[in-house]
Amino acid sequence: MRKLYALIKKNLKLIVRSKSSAVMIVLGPLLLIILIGAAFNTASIYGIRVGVYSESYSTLSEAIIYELNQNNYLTQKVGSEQSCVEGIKNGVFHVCAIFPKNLQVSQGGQITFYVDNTKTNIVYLITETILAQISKKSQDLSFQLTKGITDTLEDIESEINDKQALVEEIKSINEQKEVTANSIGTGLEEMKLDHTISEIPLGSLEPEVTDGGKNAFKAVENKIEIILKDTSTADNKKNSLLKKVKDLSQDIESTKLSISQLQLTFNKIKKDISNVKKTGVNEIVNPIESEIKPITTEKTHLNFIFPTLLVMIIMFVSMLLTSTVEIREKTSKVYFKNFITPTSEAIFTFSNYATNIIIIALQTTILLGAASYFFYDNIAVSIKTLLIALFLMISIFLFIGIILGSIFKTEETNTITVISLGFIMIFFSSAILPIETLPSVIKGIASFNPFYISELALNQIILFQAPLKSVSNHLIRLAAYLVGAIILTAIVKRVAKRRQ
Amino acid sequence: MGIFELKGVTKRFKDSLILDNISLDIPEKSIFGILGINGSGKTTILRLLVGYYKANKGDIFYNNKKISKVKKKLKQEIGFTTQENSFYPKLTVEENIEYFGALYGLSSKTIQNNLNKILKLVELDHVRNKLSENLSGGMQRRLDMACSLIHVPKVIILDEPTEDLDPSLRKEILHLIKKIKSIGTTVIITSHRLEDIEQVCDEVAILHNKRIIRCSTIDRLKSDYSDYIRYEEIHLQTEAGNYEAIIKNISGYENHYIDNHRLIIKTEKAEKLLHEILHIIENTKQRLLFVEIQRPTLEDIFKELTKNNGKGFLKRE
Repeated sequence: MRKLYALIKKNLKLIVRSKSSAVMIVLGPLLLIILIGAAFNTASIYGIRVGVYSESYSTLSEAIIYELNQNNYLTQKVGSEQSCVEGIKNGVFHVCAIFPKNLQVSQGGQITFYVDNTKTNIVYLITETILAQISKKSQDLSFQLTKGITDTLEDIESEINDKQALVEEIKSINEQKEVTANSIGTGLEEMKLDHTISEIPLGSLEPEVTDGGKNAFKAVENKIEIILKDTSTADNKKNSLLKKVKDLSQDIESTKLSISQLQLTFNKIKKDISNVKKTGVNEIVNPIESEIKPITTEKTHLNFIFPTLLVMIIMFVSMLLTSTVEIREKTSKVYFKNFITPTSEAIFTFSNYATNIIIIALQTTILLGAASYFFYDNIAVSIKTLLIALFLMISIFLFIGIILGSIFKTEETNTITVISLGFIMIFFSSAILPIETLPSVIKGIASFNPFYISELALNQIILFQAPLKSVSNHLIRLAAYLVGAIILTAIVKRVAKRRQ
Repeated sequence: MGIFELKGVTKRFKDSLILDNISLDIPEKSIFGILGINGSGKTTILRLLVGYYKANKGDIFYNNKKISKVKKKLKQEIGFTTQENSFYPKLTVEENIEYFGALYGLSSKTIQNNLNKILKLVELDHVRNKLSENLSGGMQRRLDMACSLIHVPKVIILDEPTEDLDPSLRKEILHLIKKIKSIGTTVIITSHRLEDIEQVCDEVAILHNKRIIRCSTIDRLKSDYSDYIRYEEIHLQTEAGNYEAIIKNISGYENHYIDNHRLIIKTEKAEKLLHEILHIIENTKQRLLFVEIQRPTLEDIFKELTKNNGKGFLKRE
């Protein structure tokens, strides 16, 4: 223990007394986080230059351009679609918007955007922001158009209301006519006109008619026959009329039905219009409203990337620091003198680890303190879990550093390796691109990446105050890595010693 | 049997043979010197002694026990000072010595006790709180030794302790080495400076061509190679290249020969003879192009000693 204490004391004194190392070790990460913090301490994107082209700018096009200008976009009209696209290639514009000739709502139209998708990290952000602006304008237009439709419907409803009384009147008149027709029909039916000559007892009268009266009788008989003939004609006409009255009656009935149907239709139209009115224009334009509610209350990018930044700093500083100390010690003139003392290699290795964990712990405390003061009020909620996670991840990277320091002989090679290794780990994580956007093979590799696991754990602990149980899966994996790193360190040290 | 004994030790690095079947016996409580030209393998022997390197062949004994069996004891009882200062420049004199004391497993009390004595011995008491990087060259070398002495080792190994030091600092260090011996510590020292070895060592081994070609007391060695250090060589060249007049008019030299248009004269009194030669050149009105006196180096002596490939020279008194 005395030996370990002496080694740690010596290491710390050497670091503190070497001004450049002290400044780099203590202030370096702070400076880094301040600079990155300043860069990411915003949720907006500024200064997006939008090239605009249209063969003929309509009022609508101008309105959209005005809208973009109002929202801090720098628009610039260019002479042709080609020069607009060239502008993106040359970096003059971030986005190029091509408006159709005389863009009109009535005619519809498609606005084409050209984006520089080589700038993977911002292209989606820019596209999304621009489309949001256009969508807003488009929504305004939809609102106006829909408003026009609902106004028209309202007029129609008013007209229907007006005409409904007329329909009622027609219906009433129709009903009266039906009654009249029915009464005519009944009257006609009651008229008996189907008399025959047999009904008149002329045969029994004829014998009693004198010869002198026979002529008169004959004349009467003839007259009766004529009357009966006329009656028969009248009966036919009555029947014909009766049929017409019945037809009329049926027509009236049919009209009545039509009027009823018309009334029903009117009522349905009124009900539909009433429903449309009740729904409201806004609901028609935006039948489903969406609101994205963040699961944290933080508002700037820094809040979200802080855990990733912290892991990044821990990773680079830990690996660089331990490997550099390891190489410096190994190549120092004192190395041999240290070697011939009765102090085991394990104590030297552990002293390197312990010294650096003190330094990294100090740096991390400062970073977390600043973070807690500025934007994470409730970091203390899961402080125990956070400390466990930090201990595991720092230890893993420190031992990786020791391994690298044991393998390499020069600081230059080591630095290049640490940077390369660091970037590989960053690439196979969500730090540059969301891991979900990467191919499944990469995702599979990333799941073994200690940086990614650390990032996941810290995100959950710092941003969502996840309890120990929730992140235990990540912590167990990190602990397994730590054990692996310690074993690997022992193996590498043994091999390196044999090579001497 | 000495404190250290090497028996038929061979050391090679990959294909390169560094030490070939060497045997040595280092007596206790003496100052034992290992002489050899740069790159002859002196440091390799020292590193084999402390177990930093493993011999490919042969055995090394410490107090009659194989060093592989007494590793811990060996480390406890040995101090080592390398060619270059091996301490932390950003620590003070006291901090450096305390640090090594702790690594040797000494208690705080023992460290403080030893520290005061060692600082007096190496005469660094007055600068104990000074950063080591701010010490003079001699002080730094003494501090390096102090770091190796804090645990009061039975043996201290000094690898080229006077290398790169000016004459006064060399004298200072040699004086310190004698003082270290006086406290009962065995000193093993390497050097390629014959004069340094002569001043402090009781016994010396000469390493050449990967082998120990001589191992004896200083007095015996001196008598053995006194013939070789007696002679110096005058190398000269004139424009005419006619050296007959010179040879005819000088005396008191061992022999002469002409090599690559230069006259080479072997003599015990080079400076006196050169004076005569310059007079002759002046009188004969010759134009002198080159003149130099070459004194025999240790390498020359080694060459002489190894003319017989070292056979018969490996002996101890």
